[in-house]
Amino acid sequence: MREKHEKLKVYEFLYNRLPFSDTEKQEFRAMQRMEKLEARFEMELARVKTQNMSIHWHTEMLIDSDYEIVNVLIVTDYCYYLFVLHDLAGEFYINPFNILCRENHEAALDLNRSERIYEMFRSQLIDEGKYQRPIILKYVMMNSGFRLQGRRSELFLDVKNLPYYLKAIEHSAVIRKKNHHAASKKF
Amino acid sequence: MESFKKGIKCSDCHSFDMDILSSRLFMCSDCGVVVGVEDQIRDYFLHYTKIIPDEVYTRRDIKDHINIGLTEYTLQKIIKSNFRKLDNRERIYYFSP
Repeated sequence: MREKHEKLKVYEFLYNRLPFSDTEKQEFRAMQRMEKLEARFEMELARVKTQNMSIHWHTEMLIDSDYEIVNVLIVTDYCYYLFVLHDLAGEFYINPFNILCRENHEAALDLNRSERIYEMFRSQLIDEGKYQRPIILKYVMMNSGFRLQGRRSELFLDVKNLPYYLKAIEHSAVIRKKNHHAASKKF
Repeated sequence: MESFKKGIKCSDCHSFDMDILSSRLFMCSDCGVVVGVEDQIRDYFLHYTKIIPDEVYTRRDIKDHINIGLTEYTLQKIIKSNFRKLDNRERIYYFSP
């Protein structure tokens, strides 16, 4: 069962009790939005069998002086799945510098940072033995109003495909081969 | 924390306009959410203790913090379930749910 982020609980307690600066108000609203997205993801996760998965919520890490949040990490015997949740809506495209841009060419998301997130996790998630479980990172676009024009990217997962993706993880998490030795359970 | 506003507020809309429905239930006058009295008070002190640990209270202090007109019976029940007396000092409590 997912717990609400501690920092959000403190902010909720202090809201209307102490004056909040504009930055604090912004941060509070951002945390509330993130909480709603994670709650929705949790609802989708509740529809699959998770006995063969280990689920970790809300990891924050500092990458090149900026914080990145990986909302969900699902660990199975075969793979690590990282999910970063977004609620962007509207028409977007990916420019030649691998930046997700709005229709008006305003930058929305630097997709190059996904490499850094991957490297960060790769350096931490080391399995015993020769077999290193792959790491798959997905940006889950939780708003059904998100539209990607032009060049596609494997990074993105639409909210309408999320249930099927989680179902596929459920199926692939089950040990099928008799002689297969699953990766170390240590995490 | 001089500017800290005490009292039970609605966890949904953050309004301090809470009505007592019964000895067990509060209702927010703004959004209509109904919550348990004891749960809300325990939650309040849990969070308050995180910010100001090792705080001790008199009965008066506890009443001030709750800031809603509870009956003496309800207040006593809440103190009994959630507070312990500080050593041998009769009327000084610390939060210990």
